[in-house]
Amino acid sequence: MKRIFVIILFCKCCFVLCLPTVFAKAVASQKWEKSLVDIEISQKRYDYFQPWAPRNEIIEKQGVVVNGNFILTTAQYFNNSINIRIRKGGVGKWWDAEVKTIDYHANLALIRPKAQQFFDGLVPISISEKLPVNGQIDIIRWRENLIELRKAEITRPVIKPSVTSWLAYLHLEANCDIEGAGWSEISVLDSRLCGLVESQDGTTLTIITASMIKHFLKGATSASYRGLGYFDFVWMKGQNPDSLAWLGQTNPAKGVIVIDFAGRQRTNSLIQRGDVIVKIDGFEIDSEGYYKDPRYGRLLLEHLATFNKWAGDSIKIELIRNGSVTNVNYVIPKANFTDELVPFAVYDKEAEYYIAGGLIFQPLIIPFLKSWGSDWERKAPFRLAYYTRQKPTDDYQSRVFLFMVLPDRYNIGYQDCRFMVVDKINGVKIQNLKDVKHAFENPTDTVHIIEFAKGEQVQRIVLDASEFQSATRRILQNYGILYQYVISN
Amino acid sequence: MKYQDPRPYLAHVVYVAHDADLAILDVEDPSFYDGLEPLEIGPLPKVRSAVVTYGYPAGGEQISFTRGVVSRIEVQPYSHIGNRALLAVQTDAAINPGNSGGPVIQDGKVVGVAFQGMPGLENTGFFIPPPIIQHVLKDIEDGVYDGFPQIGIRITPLQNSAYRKYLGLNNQSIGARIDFIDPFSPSNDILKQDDVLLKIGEYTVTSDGTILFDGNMVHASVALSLAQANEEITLKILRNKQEMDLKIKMHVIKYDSAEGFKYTLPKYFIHGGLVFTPLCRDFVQSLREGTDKDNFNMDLFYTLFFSRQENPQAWRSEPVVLASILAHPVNANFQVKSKALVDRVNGRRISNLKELVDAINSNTNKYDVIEFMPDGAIECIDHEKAVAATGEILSTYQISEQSRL
Repeated sequence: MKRIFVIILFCKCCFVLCLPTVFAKAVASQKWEKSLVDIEISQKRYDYFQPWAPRNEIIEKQGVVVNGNFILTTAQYFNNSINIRIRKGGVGKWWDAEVKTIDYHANLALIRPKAQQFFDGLVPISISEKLPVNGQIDIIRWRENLIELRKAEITRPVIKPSVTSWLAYLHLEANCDIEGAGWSEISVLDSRLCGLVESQDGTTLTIITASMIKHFLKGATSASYRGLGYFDFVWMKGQNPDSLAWLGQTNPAKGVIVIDFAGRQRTNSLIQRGDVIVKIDGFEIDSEGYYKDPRYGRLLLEHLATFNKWAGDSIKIELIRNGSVTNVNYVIPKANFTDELVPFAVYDKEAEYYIAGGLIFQPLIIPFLKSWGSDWERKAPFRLAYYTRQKPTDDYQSRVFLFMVLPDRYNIGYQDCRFMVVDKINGVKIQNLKDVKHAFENPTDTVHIIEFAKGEQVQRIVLDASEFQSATRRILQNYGILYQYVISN
Repeated sequence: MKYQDPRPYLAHVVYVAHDADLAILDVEDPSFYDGLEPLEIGPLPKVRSAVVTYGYPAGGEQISFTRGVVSRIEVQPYSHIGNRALLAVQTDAAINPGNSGGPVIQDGKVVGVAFQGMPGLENTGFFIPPPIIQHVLKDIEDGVYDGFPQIGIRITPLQNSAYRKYLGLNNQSIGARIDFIDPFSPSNDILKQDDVLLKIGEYTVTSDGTILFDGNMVHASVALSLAQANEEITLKILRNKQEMDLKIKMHVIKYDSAEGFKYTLPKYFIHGGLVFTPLCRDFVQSLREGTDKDNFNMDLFYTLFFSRQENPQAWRSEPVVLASILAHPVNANFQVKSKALVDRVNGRRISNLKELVDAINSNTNKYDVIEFMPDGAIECIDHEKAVAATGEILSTYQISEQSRL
């Protein structure tokens, strides 16, 4: 939110304050005007402390015309979009558009106008075959109705997650004196698209590479989009020769040690804890987890799960187990936000809640915890935050918590209860709000019994079942809340 | 030192009650007591009554007297030990650093010992009241300080009419609910969740979990804290809509890693420069208070304060942490640096420091294999080389002993 505020302020003020600078940096290039477009997104935003009261935000970002009459942009800010409009030439009419394919793990989206005439006079951009790892590139965007071009110096290729996901894949970092970037500005090398700028930190830009863009476009324009996958094993560096020797690896410079598994535990995983992974897809893995990529040089092994690979593809992994070399065909699992006990994000769904006699229940998700700011791991209620360190279990694939209580005579005695994870309601195990709704529809005897996870400040509370509906209606009316619940499919 | 006497006298600690933040000292030179008269310990002062604190707070050399009123009397956390709450008196008489340990006087009698303030609040000081002082004095009559016993239950208010009706109570304001029972306490075999606590001894428990104690509504735990170690108390409860009397023997928790500083030197064991120590409140607190964000270790915090209640089956009585690594070629390749919880050593699950020492000292294999949690990191160190290097490491870092167990 801070970022949006800054950008809007910047755009409004700089017309007066920085106009000479803008003109000085502007490039009268007809070529880019015919490929680069403005995108305006109206989206619903939620305050998780009042999830029943969404508000509207309008975002402007960049897109670029690609082959097939599509517009390519980053996925960020399309979450819960209401209207999408696009504009060409930096001025004039806004055209209605829609999302064709979006991948929040790749942070890429393909959109299209509802009227094909939009493309009249526009030219699709060519995508670079070169994959630069150093040298200069151009950063180009619409700004104040003019094309602005800045030089950027690539500093390094890096494997890291996009801002919209936890999935790590190849990005470029570049140094540039541009201000307010990170809105899908295009990066160009030799007049060809070599990346999209997804974020800016000081003078460092993070750029989604052309290799990922080409991979995404190939998938997005195919019959079905399979999505990206990842290596679900957690590894540590194999830099302790004693550890490697104990695990049977005699070459001290090769291999990383598998120590755990991410997300939902796969019962039939071919990889085991204590395996030393020495080769993936034919590339030797060194003791720091890097391999020598023929295009980018030394890269973290995670790149091999996403480079020209989709979820469900298999990849050969050579490992050492109990001193013997073993080869496995590892099937790359699909990256799903719902695989985490506490999801990193929930995209394109309304904020969920369920109000029961004034007790407000919500699913435990990281966007809620981020209500405490960037330092949420320290500042959010500790017990809630610690669930992000825990894995789904057979009993609980996700968790629901009591957010707070809207005080009413019906719930007297519980008004201080908040931020407590729910185990069961009326004997029903609670993993999501559908479970909550179902449980409250089936009271135990004459009461509703809500049981909280061990260690919470209160273990159990009881509500009167006969007054439940009337009390809930009264509370919703008193607090001006339209709907008792929002539960996504 | 004593009033208007410039000579310092040597004293030593006879008893220390960390849970009550009190200590009994004796002065080696009997002449110290010449001219001094013992003060009588008075009753619990009344709210709004005047008290005077005596002490040597910061800001001067002479004894300082400050007058105030008793603002309120209730159960407060005792910050010295960190994880206990006992009866305390709040006063607006200035209690500043240096006042701690000084008497609070009313009508010529000691009605408290100044002990803590509350940062950020003005005119808010706290003193330890007579019931706590008397409890400590009675406790040491047998020559040993046992401490305040605990019953191992959590009491919550029972104010919701639906819950009261469900448990068979009428709508009077009597009875609080037992919400949680420590699975490691003797109460676990006697009390049950949803038992309604009606009386502790002669004290009636109200629906907000308080009792009327000497004219003050205070948390029901005050009635429990009056008992001495191993004393039997009687509880009147309502279970399955039937009243019953239960007797419970109060017990003292001898070791609780969630407690704070206890004036005992921390235990440790050094093997090949790897420094292992039990996880305790002070260790975690030192990380949490640091300004370095990376220092905050959620796993240590969770293990110390939450795992006991949430997962009693997997709980370890004295979790062990790799506190630091004293750099030496024998450990230079270790990837786990410090602040890591030890899960297993040489295949043995580690529940306390002694088990870790045994697991290492009894190893006959080439490597010591150390597994950490919760991330499952595996580290090995050559056993013989580590043993051989330990002496040199101790010498380099000027450490006199390999272990303090």
